[in-house]
Amino acid sequence: MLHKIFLFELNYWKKRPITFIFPLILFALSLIIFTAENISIGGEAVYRNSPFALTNLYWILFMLSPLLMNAIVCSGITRDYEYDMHQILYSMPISKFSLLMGRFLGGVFLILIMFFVVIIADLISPFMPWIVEDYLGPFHLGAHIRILLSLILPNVLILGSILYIVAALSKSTQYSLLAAMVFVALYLALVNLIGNLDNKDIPAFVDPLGGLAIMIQTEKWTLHQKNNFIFEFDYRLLINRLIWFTIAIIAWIFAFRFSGKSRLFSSKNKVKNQDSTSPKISQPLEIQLNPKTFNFKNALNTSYLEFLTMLKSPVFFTVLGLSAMMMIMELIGFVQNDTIEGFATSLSAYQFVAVALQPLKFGLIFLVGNLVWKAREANFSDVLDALPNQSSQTVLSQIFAVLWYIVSVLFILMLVAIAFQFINGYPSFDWDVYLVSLWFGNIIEMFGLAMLSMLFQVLLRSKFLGFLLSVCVVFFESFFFDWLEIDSNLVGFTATIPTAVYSEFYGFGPYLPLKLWFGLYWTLFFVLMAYIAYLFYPRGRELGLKYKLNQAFQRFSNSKPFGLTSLGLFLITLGWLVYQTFWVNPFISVKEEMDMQSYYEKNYKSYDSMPIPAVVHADYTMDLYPEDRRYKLVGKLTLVNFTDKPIDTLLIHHAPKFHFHYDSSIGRQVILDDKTPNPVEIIALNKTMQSKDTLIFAYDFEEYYHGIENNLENERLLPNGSFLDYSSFTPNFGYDVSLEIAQKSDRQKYNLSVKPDNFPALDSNCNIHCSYNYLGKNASWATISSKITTSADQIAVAPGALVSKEVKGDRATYVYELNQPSIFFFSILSGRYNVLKDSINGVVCEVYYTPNHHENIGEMMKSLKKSIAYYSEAFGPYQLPVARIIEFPQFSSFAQAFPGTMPYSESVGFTSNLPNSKYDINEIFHIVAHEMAHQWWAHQIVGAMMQGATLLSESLAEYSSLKLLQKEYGDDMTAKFLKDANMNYVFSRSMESKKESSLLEVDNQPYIHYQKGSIVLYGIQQLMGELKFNQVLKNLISTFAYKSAPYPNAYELYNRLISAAPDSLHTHIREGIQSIVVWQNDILSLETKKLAQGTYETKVKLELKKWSSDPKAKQTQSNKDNTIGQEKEAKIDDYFDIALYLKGDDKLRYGQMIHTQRFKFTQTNPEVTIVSNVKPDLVVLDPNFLHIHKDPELNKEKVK
Amino acid sequence: MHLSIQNLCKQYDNGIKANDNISLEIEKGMFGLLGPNGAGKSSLMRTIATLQQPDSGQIWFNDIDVLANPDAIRKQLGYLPQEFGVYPKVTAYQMLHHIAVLKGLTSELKPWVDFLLQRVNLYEHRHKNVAEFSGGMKQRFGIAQALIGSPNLIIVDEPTAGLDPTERNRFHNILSEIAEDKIVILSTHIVQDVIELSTQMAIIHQGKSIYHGHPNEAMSLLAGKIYQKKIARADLVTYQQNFQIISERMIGGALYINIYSDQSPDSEWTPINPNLEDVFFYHTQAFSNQSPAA
Repeated sequence: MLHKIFLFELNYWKKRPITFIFPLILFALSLIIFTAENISIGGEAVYRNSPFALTNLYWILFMLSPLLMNAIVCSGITRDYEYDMHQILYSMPISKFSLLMGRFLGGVFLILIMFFVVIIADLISPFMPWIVEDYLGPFHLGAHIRILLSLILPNVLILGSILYIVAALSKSTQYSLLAAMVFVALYLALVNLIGNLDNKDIPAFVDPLGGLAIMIQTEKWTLHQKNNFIFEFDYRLLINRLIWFTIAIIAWIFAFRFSGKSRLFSSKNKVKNQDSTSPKISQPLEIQLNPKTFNFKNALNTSYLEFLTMLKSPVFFTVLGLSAMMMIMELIGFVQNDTIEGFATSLSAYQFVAVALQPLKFGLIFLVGNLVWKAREANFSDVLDALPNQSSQTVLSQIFAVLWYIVSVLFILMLVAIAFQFINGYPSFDWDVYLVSLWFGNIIEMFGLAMLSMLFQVLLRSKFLGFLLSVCVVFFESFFFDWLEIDSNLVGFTATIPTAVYSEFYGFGPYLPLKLWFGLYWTLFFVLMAYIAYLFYPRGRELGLKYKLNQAFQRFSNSKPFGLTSLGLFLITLGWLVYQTFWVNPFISVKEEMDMQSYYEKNYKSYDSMPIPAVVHADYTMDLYPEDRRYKLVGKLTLVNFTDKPIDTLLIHHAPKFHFHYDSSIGRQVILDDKTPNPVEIIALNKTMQSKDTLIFAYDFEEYYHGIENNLENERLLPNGSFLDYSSFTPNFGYDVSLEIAQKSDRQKYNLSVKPDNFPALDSNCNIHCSYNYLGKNASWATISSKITTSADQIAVAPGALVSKEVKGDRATYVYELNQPSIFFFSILSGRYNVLKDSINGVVCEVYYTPNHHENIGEMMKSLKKSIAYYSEAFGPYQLPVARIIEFPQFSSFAQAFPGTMPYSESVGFTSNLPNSKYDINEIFHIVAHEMAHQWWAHQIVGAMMQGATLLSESLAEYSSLKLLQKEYGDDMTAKFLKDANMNYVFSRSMESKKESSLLEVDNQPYIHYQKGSIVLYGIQQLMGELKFNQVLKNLISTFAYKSAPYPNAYELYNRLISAAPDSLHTHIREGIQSIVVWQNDILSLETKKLAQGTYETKVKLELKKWSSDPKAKQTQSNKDNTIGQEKEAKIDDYFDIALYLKGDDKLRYGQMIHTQRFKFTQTNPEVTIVSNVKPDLVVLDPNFLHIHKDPELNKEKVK
Repeated sequence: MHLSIQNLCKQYDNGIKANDNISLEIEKGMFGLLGPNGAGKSSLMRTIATLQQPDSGQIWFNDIDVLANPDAIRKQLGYLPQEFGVYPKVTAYQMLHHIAVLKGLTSELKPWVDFLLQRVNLYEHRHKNVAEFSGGMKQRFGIAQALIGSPNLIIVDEPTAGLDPTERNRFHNILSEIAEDKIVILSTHIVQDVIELSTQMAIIHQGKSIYHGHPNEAMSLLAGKIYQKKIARADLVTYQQNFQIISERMIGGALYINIYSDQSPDSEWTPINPNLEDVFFYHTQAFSNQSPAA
């Protein structure tokens, strides 16, 4: 019987459109993901059909299938009720088991079969004409089968079972759809949660889909593993699957045992029909029928009823609950983990509403579908459609109901966010700001999705197809428009309203008009969409296209004024915005930008080797009008030809679009080419610059904005808190390599030769690349004079000492002088600041902050002063008269070191809460210490323009700040810091888009020069000793500080370390800096016993694995034999510390140390014995990170 | 008050001709639309109720062109479809109130809703969910919703199908009360309904109107032309060949046939007074015999 029902089920679906449409969608998406550019599902360097990427692909596609399970599996049980077949069917001699199971398995089988189209897509992808060769690796049939059988099938079975039972018990696919939503949301919430957890077991077990276990397993994989291996059934996945299979089986048993036929298949209670003697009510005399059949008030009235029905449906609270849960989890994680970021503005917490929108989106799609089909499904539409109310009123009331729903969910979420922020110590409320964000941030977008969904439902006339298409929009919208390379905010399915950076410096400031205009545009667009939905809204029994068109036309003629007015308003807004964003402020799309980059490289690359003069002095007069977002600048650059070749031609770039004019006495313009990202001008000099000749390059420049932009182009020029980088108002001399296209696939698309690296290769013999430093060809040593006028209530800050300050009328004038030649790399800021002043070693220390951001300025000043004190002593004197921290608005979250000045974003420390305890990492202290260290590492010595340059700046700055942190807060703090660095490094290397370099040849990869750099340098320092190590750095400073070319390269540090270190450390230094080594260790056993003399002996049995990968590995295209990231076990000959601890404060990483001992290991399974005076509670291998570990938690073991 | 249907034709996409050139003139009172299942009654009623468009023909209610101006007729219309459902978890009172709003009633709604509920004997159950009503109660609820706003044209499509005799009587009483000063179109395949209620009637068969007039008139047309005889089942074929049989029926286990004949065939046949059922069978049989398909 079972197999007959199974076959019947398959037969039943054979003729349904879903059976073909869904596989078609899967196929199309797979093909796009395999072959389209700008798409990556496993990392750029990972083959798109590698086992790892395939797992991701199937996973993404699987996210669509809960909908399908509802349509196919769950409807297997509910359709009998829908079509009133159940009474006949359930009175037949079929066992409940064969009926339920047969249909269930039929549905499951069908869904599984559909996923096989991915294999076909993989097979034909290489033959697509547009395919770029190295997107795809070898075809892995085994991986497909493995994923289908071990990931897709179990999930369809498990999730399908649970949804099926929910559908069977509730007799409605509504509840099973809801249950599916809960499961997906649970998975998403868990993914968000685990990022910062040490022990990820519990979330991995709880995750109903098992994806988390796979994610945890593969998150540290190297490129090589991703390309060649598939996930295994590790203990997490195995336990997870066991748990959920058990739950699925229990669900089945429950369905059979505890709900006999009577309950599972019973019909509902009937009201007893009793004759009753009710009071006689006489007919009311008046009857008033509204003469107009369309009535706005009635629409509002009925919308209220529709909304109340929504409130009664489980969707409302499920969505609200899920959204609130997701948002609160994010907020808690934010407050607990990101010690660095606090609530910078009253809007900060509200912005977390964005992470909670997914449930709302699905809820909306679901509700809109139900709303449109409600009357028809209830078989009530015949009654309803014969009523005199107009369809417009019906549609309007439904739209209002949806709107009430959106507003109420978002408003409640907003209140939750505000409450959270309030509890966490940010007690100010700016309701106007919240409401603006609520409306323009989310309501329009959600309303748009709802209207789109309604239109789909009305036009497709199938609830399932409507759902499917809407869900596809949610999942793939951004993906789709990225793929089409459309960037205009006028194009989209749902609203694309420019995002605003809200800041306490200026509120919404210049963003507000953009938000208002695009908000209006999209609102009108969705009104039109709703209007079209109305025109085609089904009424009556006619289904034919001709009739529908006729009806639509008739409805249109009855509502011409409204339709034409909204169309007119929409077109006017569209026209206005097209005019503004394509003529007045033509924006450059990503594609156009790339076209320009390619054009630039092809036309001007030949100028790369042309000698260029260096700036030795710059003189600026800037008139800044912050409120108008405009400034005028007159610049005078003193250029010197330091090369030994004559210079008769200058190639310059300047910021695009704005007025730029140079003194024509310099020379004659040969070329002006504005088809490049920054317009190129080539000037034939009137007088050739011989070696050592000087030239004054005078120019004036003006930057200004008016009208509406597609996105705010310059988010640094602001009414308050402007932060202008020198490069935006200073021309750049010579060919600029940084304007070239960087990404490999993009270069292939434009037929540009593949550029494997960011920087030229490291060469131990200083070559031509040592004549420039890595900050750019123009970053020479220069002095700067600046005179800046700004609004009277603002302070302008430029590099160097303040010479004079004068306020006259509504203008203030500031004059600054930087007399110590410094790297030509600076910024000018202007804002309404308060200033905290102090000094150390004769250096003026200042913190400029916006008045209500005063919480942490004391901590910043402390770090500033301690940095100057320690670094001056350890590496050499601070050479500038001032050291400033200047707050800037949160359009970006960073702090940056310019000579003597440190612009510091409001969001990374000015308003965050300082750590609750002295045990927590103090990020504010650390950031200031790191940036101050750059005053030595980058601003005194700066690496040559080749690989490894950032070892000399970022890694050394990170080391310096870590050492300062240790001096201030102790070893426990650095251990925590190094553990974070360690984890960050092992996760980031897995995401590497090209290949992992060694530290020596670091190609500007942050995870190498920051995280690996700090561990390696700090480790060498631990082995060499602080004094000896710092002596090497001091020597480096004294040799190269403020010296012109040739600039030092990474070998200058490496060789000095080798010669200063004893021979026994050479291997460690070489492996740390020149190779890639990661350890995977375990403490196998611990034994502690008391010795006769009262001391304790601890026997430790270890397992050590040293993985090494070759930083020189190359990708060989022909045979697809890719060894990048391949790890091999290496010979062990290394120092390790083992430390014993007593249980201490929970906030310490380990506890109170009682003994530490250094060993040299040469075997994989060493055994050591440590004697201590006290019985230890905890044994830790490598507590202070001499090495990098795949899983540092395994280095800790409690004594039993 | 007058409803005029002229040359109405409606063919569905699957080729079925639901209405084939139907013309009817309907005056105040109860109009019975009699016809077998699938004759096109519901289709005709849905067309009058503006739920679908005919291919050709006209419908006029007084001076309203129903097809051109559906909104105007909807204001005077009460419609009870053959099958209808309601939203789950909504009470009778809420549902009626909702429909009253949609009908555009602007006067105080509560007295109206209460009055109608009381009139159809559901006042006691007004706070119970309609979805849980029994068949009879649901039909009474259906007529209540049709009566909101005192419509002048009421269309009820097979309202008594499946009701027990008590419910059916109760329903008939309500209908006949209403029909005093309005047009009520009642479609049914049960002859008895028409006899009990209608002042005018039409017989619809295979999409065509094959009789249109007063029930009594219809019966008098057949007076003296219907004969009955008890026969053995084995002889049925012979009789079918020789006589125009309009119906066969079992009475107390014996087979009786009614035939149409202008004069008495022989003495074994008993002349009987024609009832409406004979009229119905006479017309549908006669029509089938004429139609080329038969």
